Amino acid sequence: MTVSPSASVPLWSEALTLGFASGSACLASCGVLLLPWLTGMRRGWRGTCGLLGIFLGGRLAGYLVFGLGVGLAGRVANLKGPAGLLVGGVSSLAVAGLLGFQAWRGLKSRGVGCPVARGGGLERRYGLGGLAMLGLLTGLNLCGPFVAAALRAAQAGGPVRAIAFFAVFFLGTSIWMLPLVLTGAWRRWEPLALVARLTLAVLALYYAYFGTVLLLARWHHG
Amino acid sequence: MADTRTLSPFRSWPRAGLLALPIALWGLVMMGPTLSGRDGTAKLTAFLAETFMTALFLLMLRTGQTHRWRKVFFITLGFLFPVGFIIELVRLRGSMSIPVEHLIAGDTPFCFMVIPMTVIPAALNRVLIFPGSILPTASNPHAVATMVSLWLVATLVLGKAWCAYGCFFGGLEEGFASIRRRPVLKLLNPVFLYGPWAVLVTIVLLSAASYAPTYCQWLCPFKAVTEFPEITNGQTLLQAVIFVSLFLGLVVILPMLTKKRTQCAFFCPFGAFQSLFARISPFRIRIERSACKDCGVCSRACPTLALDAGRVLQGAPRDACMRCGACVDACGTGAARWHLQGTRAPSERARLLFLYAGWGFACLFGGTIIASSLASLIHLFR
Amino acid sequence: MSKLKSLFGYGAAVLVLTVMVLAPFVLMSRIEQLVGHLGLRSHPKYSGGSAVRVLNRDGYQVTIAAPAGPVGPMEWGPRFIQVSWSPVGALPDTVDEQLDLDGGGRPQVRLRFRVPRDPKQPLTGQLEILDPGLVRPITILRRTGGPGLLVGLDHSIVARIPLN
Repeated sequence: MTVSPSASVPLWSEALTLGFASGSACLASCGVLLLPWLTGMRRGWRGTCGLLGIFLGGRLAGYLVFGLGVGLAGRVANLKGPAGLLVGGVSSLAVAGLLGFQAWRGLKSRGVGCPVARGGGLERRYGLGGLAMLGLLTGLNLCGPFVAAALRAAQAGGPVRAIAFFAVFFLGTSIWMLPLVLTGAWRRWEPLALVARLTLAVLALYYAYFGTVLLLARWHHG
Repeated sequence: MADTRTLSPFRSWPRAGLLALPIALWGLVMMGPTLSGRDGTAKLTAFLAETFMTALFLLMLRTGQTHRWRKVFFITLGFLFPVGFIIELVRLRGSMSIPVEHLIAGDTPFCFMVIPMTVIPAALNRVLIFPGSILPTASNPHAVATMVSLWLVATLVLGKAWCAYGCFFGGLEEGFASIRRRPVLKLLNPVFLYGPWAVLVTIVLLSAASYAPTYCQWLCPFKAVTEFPEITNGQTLLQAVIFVSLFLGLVVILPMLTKKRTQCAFFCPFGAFQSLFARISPFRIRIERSACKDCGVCSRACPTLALDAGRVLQGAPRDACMRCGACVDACGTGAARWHLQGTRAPSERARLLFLYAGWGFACLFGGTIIASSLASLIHLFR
Repeated sequence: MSKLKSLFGYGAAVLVLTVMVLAPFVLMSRIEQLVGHLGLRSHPKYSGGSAVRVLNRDGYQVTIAAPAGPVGPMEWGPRFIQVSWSPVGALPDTVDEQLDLDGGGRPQVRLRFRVPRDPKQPLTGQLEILDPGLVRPITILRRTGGPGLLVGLDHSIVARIPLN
């Protein structure tokens, strides 16, 4: 079923409304990772805004890629079935790797007492690239609101409209991410940054466990 | 070790006995319902536990040593609790594993470790993310309300000292840490002292996002000696492997090698949570700089690394201090002392006041657990 | 000033002792009652959700609950509808029930199982999907080993039928 052009305004407002209504769920799932990541980076307000922008950029890329796929296919596969378990498992393991690497960088760059190396070159590129990749992977989180958006986008009438639907949906959800900028206020409190980096390490282990469990479930599913 | 005979006014037997009387009476009141009951075994073990606690308190007063006698109680509690708990589980269910029926019926005992994880979902949606019951029932006396009330009282009375006078898991580590005479490993990067906070932040965030007690599902080392979900598939097997590995590593092996309570110092999120309430208690440990010779004995004695050279210079341990008294007992100059906030009370008076509260709670909670666990053990062999 | 601080210090110590003494007799029970009045409820994925329909049968009742299960972004596990058979007199030897799970007037599933008289006997149910779309396509409900569940609880039988 496709949506006629005369219904295009309600479709975009529908996307925005759905996005805003789902944003708290996105904040809950992304906040788990972003809060310690941003806190551990120890940037000020402007720096944190920039980092959040990079993360959201990666997330938008994930949404748009998914939107393209859904728009081209014209339908949504059973995202909670074996395909969903596989995607979820692999992306969780990838997130685990990212978090673990970021934790290792943060912890090895200092002991107790000196601020994290701001670093240029490779270290800075790795840090920012990792954050963009994290955004991309969390953008592919197949939660309820995401699945609902996918189902609606599949009915939007073609890949361009599906991509646009997801872009507006993304805007709606991203409003909820803005408070994360407040992590820039804690920049000077070093123990908090240490706790944040250790938290990334623990989260990395959790996501490795979570991804393994999803893949076990996929394997059991057959 | 300090020659406390010249320091304390409470050394004589008669005087120590008099001062121990309130605790003896308190113990009798706590055990009273059992002592007047019909179960002969329960009466015997209640009497033994009460005598045990009173005797230890008396020795604390007589010798001026806190940590040495507290440790005896704590290790006894740490080893007897799981024994009694497991015996009861096997008697009621036939195994240590939690059957799915209990999960559905809300009969899973609520543990204090769950409290930090439940706060956000309860505050936002009034939802309890635990397969237990809110109020106690015949099949589940360890309901949420019961354990929360116990925790609240413990926090008001003890604050962070819960970890040395209340926690029935800490005694296990303390026991294993006491086996060797000297540590084999002395490492321990101080960065990892923030570990408990990292684990706390992780489980609070994940529990709020997943509406599930992630620590219980994934990270609790003490599942190895209490109860755990039935192993029915790959996931539950993986969970069991994690629980047992964490227990062996953090509770058995590392304490044996380092002579420190490594699970408490580097991992336990509830300890970090209790540290938030460390300043509720007016009882503190202070290092009197004028008397301190910077010998480092207090730092080496601290089982949770709450004291280091920097903290000694500052005159106070970190908020992770659990008032176990090890540093005070070890100090040769009397620089490490008990302190009642805001007062100039002598160390011994501050200690006595603290012990009345702390040991009173220990009798109320740990003493009754020791009694009931002993009773379960005796019933097993009869 | 130092006298005032000292007063507060000793006052705090007395307060702590008072709390400790009052705890087992007054405080703990009051706090328990207070927690009980907070309006907390167990998450439906554990409790099975609130009952929406009760069907009276000959000697027993069938209670159908609202859909329950994970809803949050990081919650995982199957959503389900809990159905329970509770004896008023006694449960029959065999239950063969067509269930209208969503209250739409048409049954979506048919569940058959033998009621074990010995609690140690295994409990297995055969599930037939009458109206696909709502319910996950499985055929067996048992105690473990699948997304569905069928257990004996006290004197009742409880089923959790996984949803799509």
